[in-house]
Amino acid sequence: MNSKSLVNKSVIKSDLRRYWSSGAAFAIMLFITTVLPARVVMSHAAISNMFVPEAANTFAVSRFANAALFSVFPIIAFGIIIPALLFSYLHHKSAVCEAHKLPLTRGCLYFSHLISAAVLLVVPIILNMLLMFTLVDVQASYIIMWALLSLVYAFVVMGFSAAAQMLVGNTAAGVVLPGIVMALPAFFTVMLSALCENYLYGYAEYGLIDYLEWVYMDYSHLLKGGVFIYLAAGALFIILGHIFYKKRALENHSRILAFDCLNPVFMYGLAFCAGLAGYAYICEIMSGSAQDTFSMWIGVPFGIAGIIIARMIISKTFKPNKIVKPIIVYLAMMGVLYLFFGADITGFEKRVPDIDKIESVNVIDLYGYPENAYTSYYDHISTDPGPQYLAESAQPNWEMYDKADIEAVTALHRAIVESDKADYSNTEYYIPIVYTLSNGRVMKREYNIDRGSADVFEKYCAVQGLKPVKSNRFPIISDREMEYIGSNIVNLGIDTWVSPERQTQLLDALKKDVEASKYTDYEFSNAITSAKIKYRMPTLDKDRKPVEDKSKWIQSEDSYNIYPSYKNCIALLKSWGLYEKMPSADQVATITVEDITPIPNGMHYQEPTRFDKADDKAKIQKILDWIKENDANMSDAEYMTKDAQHINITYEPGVGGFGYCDISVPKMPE
Amino acid sequence: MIEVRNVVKRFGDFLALDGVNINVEKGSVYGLVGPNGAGKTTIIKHLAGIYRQDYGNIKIDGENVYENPALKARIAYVSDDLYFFPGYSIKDAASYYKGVYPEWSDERFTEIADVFKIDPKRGARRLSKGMQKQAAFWLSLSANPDVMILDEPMDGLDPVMRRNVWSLILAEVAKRDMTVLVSSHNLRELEDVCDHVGIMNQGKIAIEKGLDEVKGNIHKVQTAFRNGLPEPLRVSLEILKHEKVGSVDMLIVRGSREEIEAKICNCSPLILDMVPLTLEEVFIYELGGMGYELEIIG
Repeated sequence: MNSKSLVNKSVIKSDLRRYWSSGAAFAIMLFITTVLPARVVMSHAAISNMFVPEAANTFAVSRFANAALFSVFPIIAFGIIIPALLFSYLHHKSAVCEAHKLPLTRGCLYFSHLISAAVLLVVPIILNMLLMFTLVDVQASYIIMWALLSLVYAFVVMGFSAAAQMLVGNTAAGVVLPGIVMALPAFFTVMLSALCENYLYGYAEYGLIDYLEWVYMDYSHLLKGGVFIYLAAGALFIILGHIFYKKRALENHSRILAFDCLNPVFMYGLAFCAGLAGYAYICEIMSGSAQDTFSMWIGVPFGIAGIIIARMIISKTFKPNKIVKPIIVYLAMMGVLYLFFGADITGFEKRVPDIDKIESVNVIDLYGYPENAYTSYYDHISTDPGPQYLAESAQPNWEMYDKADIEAVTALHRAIVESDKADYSNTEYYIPIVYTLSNGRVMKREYNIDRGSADVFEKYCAVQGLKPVKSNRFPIISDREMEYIGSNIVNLGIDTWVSPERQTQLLDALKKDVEASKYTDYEFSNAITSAKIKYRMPTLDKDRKPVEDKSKWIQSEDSYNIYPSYKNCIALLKSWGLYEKMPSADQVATITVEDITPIPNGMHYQEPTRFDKADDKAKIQKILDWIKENDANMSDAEYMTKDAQHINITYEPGVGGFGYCDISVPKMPE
Repeated sequence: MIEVRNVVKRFGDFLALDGVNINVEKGSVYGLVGPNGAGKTTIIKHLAGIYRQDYGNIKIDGENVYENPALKARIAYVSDDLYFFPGYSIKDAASYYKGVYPEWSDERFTEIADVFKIDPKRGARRLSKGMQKQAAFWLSLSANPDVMILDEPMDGLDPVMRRNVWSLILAEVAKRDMTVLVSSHNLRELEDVCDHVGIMNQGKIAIEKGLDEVKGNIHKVQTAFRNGLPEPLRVSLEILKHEKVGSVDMLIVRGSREEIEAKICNCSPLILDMVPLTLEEVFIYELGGMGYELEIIG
């Protein structure tokens, strides 16, 4: 035996003999969490694929990937526990002496135990891979890929846990602390996002949470070359563990942390986490009220409790001693944090990029226009274009490159940051702004617009009126290629087909009206008459180029309310006798009326009143008359603030349309 | 053989070793004694290569012990607080040691099995404390060490087994010049086996000498004078303790036997009797002089 060797067979043999049961438990957990679910879902996949054979592969792979994701949990758990067990001798007085009296270097002990840990983690993964070959009906390459990626992830977790074991002084801490540290990225990301959202006006970096996928093994990241990052991280942890072991004072067994210098990190870390958790807890239990006004200082009592608990844990006593200085330091740290978030010392809130440094800007939001202007743009995709095309192929590129458009957005942005902060609870007017800067960086902001500031609202309307923004909501004015295949005029839910000749006139009038309308014209909730336009448009391929094969085109159906400002449409429909054509009371089977009373935190719906045709024909006619007179006179803003009524009309069979109609009107007099 | 120079070790704010110096010659049996908390186990764990000193040198045969597997392969350490792997029998432990200690000898393991009379297939953790101690000696001696470091080694062993174990150790000392450093509170036992003694107190070695030298430098004197102990004698003798029983003066005096005898005889004693001290008595009186007094309770 070479005394300088890096591993010792006898140590490995002894480890495997003593801890084989942990490996067996890991194998069973992998089987339960991965092989078994994969077996079950793949059986279902096989049945489904009998009917859709061309989708078999995509479906099977996605199902398999979902099932395989569960293996992350046992890998994390046993990746932490197995090294904790193998290095548990460091945490007991007699065991640490027994291990280190032997003629083996610390490096030899460390790497021998690591190899044992690796064997206990690798063998279960390989065993389950072999089981998958026989039990799970999916391509062998996917099973091999699962096994390889699981091995890589296990390697990272094992390295992390091994390094952590060198820093802690007892086995419980060896399991709990790495577990907590593994959860910290998720905790901090969520908490940081919450703080930023509450404190940084305009904060919109929701992509922060995506980075967590890297920490918690997203298979897609691993496939994209992340394997090497994971391997490097695992190797780094292992090297750090070796360094820590060499530096570790063996007499520090049975303590929580083996290095004194880690005590402040633990204490302030716990205080910081407790403070954040307390802040989130208070916000959560108070949600529904003005949670945005909560100061981060409400987390301070929780943070101080964290310091006291940390001191008790470190000194292993229930006496909270030596806490005054840490509390002062903690409060000072909180002050710095408050300056960062509360006082905006970084200038985050006021930053508006120079127009020369902006490559493009995107302000598209699904709800940018009032609800009733919303078209059924995404709702009627009847052809699956297939995986070789963009999934979002229905979406054109709404980036604005024109300097005048960009200038309109920066003018709005500047007006927003220079005005007082808007009330966060007002969600009526909202705009996201995503700049792509000349240096390739992306700057995101989002704002609720306060109509009280005339300047801001005017600029907001101007941005909403920009052609690219308007085209998003009204495809009829966009420059995209469209093939119109049919139109209907709908009056209170009853359809009337429009002939091809009339369709051309209708589309022409509608384009003119939409282009001429201002943003504020759309502030009305209702329109008795709407136009339903059916069309097809080319799917985009991966290079965003239109596909020529019409069998791959997307079919869509958009609905346009005919607003009072649509003069051309109204004149045309009136000449056809189709504008605000009301049903007769005989066509109505039932009408229900609900009172809507706005209250500060939402709408209050009263018990609906029901009117049947047979017993209350006069009342039904009266309601229909009220709708005709008042439908278009109530704006969205009024609808949110004044008493109103929601009316549901169900038609007699054979009347046409969908057989029903919903509409909101100002409250009828008794 | 074993050289410890100015070793300092702190545990947080507590100074456990405060410049320890130890010299142990090859083939000798060195007894390390001292009160509880003196730092004996701490220095022993440094000698076994477990702890790392903050300052100073610990060398065996001129080589540093810490992280020196080649040297540690020649050292056997039997601690006061034994550890065996859960579920391991003595045979399993032997198999483990065989893969770790290059000088392990199966023949030796079999040869001394008769002394211990323990079934090697028995689970080590299920053995009594004394039997676990026997197992530890069995395994350590089978590794054919050049140096044995023993911390309270006979604690828990019956008198017969103590003799047997010491016989085995001393046979190795005689046969292979094995060096032994033993820490024990059983001073009577150490007196029989040690040739050198180090007395440790408050993290330092207070006295380090050959056993005969230690014992020859302190004496119990029973003497009587017509008019009590003469004043010149009180001044000239280094008296550690003085008791008077009737007309007889009982003195513990430091110095050579001849010198003490000559000084007392000059004062014409009525009686003079010099009794050799045991190691335990030397320990008590020497440490008494260092402020570690024997309290008479009750």
